[in-house]
Amino acid sequence: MAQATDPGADGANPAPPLLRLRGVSVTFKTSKGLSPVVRGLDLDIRAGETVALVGESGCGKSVTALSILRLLPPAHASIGGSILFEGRDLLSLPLKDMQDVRGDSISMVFQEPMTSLNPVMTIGEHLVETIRQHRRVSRAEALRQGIELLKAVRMPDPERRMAEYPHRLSGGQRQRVMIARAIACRPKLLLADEPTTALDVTVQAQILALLRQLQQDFGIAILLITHDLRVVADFADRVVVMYAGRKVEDTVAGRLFGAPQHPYTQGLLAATPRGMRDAAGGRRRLREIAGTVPDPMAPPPGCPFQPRCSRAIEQCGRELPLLGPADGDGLVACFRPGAAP
Amino acid sequence: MWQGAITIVAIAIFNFCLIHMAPGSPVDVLAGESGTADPAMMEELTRRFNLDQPFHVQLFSYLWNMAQLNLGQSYRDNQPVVTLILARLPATLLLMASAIGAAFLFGLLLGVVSARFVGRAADEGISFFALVSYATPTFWSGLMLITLFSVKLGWLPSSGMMTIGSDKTGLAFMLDVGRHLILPTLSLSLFYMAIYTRLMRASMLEVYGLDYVRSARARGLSEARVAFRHVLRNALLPMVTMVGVQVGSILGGSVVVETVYGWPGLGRLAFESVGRRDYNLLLAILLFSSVMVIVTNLVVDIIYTLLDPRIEHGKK
Repeated sequence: MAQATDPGADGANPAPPLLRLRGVSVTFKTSKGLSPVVRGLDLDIRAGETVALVGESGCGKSVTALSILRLLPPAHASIGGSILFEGRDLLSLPLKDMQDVRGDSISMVFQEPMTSLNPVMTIGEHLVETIRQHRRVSRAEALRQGIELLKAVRMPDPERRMAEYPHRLSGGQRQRVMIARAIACRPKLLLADEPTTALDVTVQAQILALLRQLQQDFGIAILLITHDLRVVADFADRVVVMYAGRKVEDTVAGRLFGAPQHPYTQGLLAATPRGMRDAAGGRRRLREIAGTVPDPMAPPPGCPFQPRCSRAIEQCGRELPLLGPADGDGLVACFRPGAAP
Repeated sequence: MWQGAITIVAIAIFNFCLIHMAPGSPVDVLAGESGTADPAMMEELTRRFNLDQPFHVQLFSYLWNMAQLNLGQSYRDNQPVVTLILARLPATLLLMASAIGAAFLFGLLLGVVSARFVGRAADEGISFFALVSYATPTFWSGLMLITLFSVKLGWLPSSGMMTIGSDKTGLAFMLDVGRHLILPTLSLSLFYMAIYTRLMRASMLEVYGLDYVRSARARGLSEARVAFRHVLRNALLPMVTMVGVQVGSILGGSVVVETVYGWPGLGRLAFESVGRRDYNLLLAILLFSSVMVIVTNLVVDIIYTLLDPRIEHGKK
């Protein structure tokens, strides 16, 4: 299922991508046996690019991000394939070298700002710790940089915030601290795992605007993991749709919303208020996708989406559709791709 | 602070009632020991000790004296009970501090190692050791330690607090007391060390699963730094609570240990005063103990605010 071609590779930018996942599979060891949560995933992210990874809960998108940093507990999860970052395979790095990559050239923002800060450390201690882990600077210099970082994430009153503990901050402020901490060492790649899901709607917009601003200022590539297609529309350059641990569609963001190819992508868009407007131009009832995500330990035969797909034919129940060039641009894994009937 | 004072008065009243419900009086014991049960002398003693007064009068005179910091005379030694207690207090404080210190320190270390290598040989070994320590009665482990280290090996003294007849001073004196302290500390702390080991292990494992530990790893921190800087401090809170709660029961345990090792502390004095029905002395010891427990809990509260910034002074 490995695909050598990737969208845009033969176009204007021939440089190798910053991050290249090839045939990555993640298997969880559970009490009931092995559970494959990511299956043969290929993914490329270029320097400065924003790629959105979308899909329902349990499709393997967060697990993919955690595998890039090797943060899954080795006793419970095994990762196969290769994850090349700037030409080095992260999966074969010694732990010490991997720790040098984490938080320095690749950093991560998590979904839960309320619990992702240590309650007994001040904001300043969090920032200083991260900076001094990767840079040989004095404490005073790290503190100065910390204040600059809080200014960069538009934290009000940054000098005073440095001495405060996380419980004094709101959810949005904590997420700003998390972002400040993630960009502390000017990473080349930021993994943002549902960074706005736990926040109020108004705060979500502010955090997204902040991420976009930082990306423009520092040229950071972002892998944005989300289930919210509205976020993707104004944020991402390219969208990768995952279903049941596999990539089912990979295309530029504008095209995904204009002409989605995979029936699952179409289903996701129809279930989103924005997709509703784009698809029909008028008002339409939100439609859910019938059925549920298959159990990774007992997938259906053939295409994993086939039991929920209105377009399924006999072939879909027999063979697994491979990822291939879609009509126009991008990649799709479907025997009957194309516009919704 | 006021809560503490009210608690002490309540404890004093409770102790007083409890002791007066027990059968026997100091007069019976004194008469029995002197071998003459002369009714006139017993009556005289009863009057002298105010034991002929009605119960509520005795209680109020006790509380009134307590308010004036007068805890009375020992019926037996005819000395102020405070003098007797103060003579024994340092030995007990030393034993308790060293037992709590040892239990906390080794419990913490073993718990951290256990959690770090969970499911592996080190964890299994420590868990087994903790279970055995937990299940062994203090008096028995005390006797066994004496048999091994004093009788068989002859490494350590079996009883007392210092070598009798030696007039050591300075460092030599401290080393001598230290040698005498090892075995009683060991017997008294083993049980609590076992509890703290298990508690620390569970607490560390719980914190290891939290989001901020994963996010600390995501920033490239080494495993040792994650363990000590992010996990340990948060895992300490339940430990500190437990120590605060258990100071009272360690004080109770010291009665047995002081008896086994002939340690000249408060626990033994309390034990003896029960046998002699020396109510004034016993009540004063109980009062001192409750003050010690309450002071420890105040200290624990202060340590708490230092460890966890979410808990602030004056907020209950």
